[in-house]
Amino acid sequence: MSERPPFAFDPGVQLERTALAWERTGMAVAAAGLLFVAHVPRHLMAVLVPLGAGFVIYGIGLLAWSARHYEDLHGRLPEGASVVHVGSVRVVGMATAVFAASALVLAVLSL
Amino acid sequence: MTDADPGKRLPATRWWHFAFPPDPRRSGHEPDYRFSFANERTFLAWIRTSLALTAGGLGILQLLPSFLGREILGILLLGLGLLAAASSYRRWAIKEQALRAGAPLPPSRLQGTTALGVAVVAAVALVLIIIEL
Repeated sequence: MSERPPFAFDPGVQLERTALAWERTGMAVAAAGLLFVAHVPRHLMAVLVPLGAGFVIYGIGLLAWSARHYEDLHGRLPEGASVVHVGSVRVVGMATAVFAASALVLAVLSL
Repeated sequence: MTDADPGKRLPATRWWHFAFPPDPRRSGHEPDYRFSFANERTFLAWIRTSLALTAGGLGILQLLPSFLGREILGILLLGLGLLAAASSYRRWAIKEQALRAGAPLPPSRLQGTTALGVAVVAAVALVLIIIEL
């Protein structure tokens, strides 16, 4: 992790707004996982409860990562380094798609 | 990070690149960081939209009282949520590629589809609930 400078580099607070967007996403992921766990039909609990619980844990992890990433970019941004984190974007995109697909399958199986 | 092949968009060399484009940092120049942050926030807004659609779909199916057509409306929202999530990385990567190439950003068709889909579901649900009263 880069050393944090003593002042905010970005006068438009883009970094802070983006960090908050990551945090809101982490909160939304954890809340969606809790909703999923709370409304799983009894006959599908063995499969879907671990999936929903995994999503809650992943949301908590995303919150922790977003705080670390914010601190890290404080140092890297003034150096002109790329602010893009492709791995996180891929993981979040795929995990959300898996969650949405699981909810759709759950809905169809519950018909 | 490399600045190889500046100004050019990455060609889709594998069949999966259509849905899952390669790392956009492999082409073009490093753009203004504010634009990359804006693109990242837009990606995250789509992720939250997908989660909201999925929660809305599950809510219609599990929480609302039973009415005719409830399952179809719930599954429609869940389908929109899946579409938003499954295409989110692609939209982010294509926009980041365009930023790095200095090219115009492609417009999003899913924006209108999502708005229309949710509006239709809300209107139909209202009518069906009133009929059932």
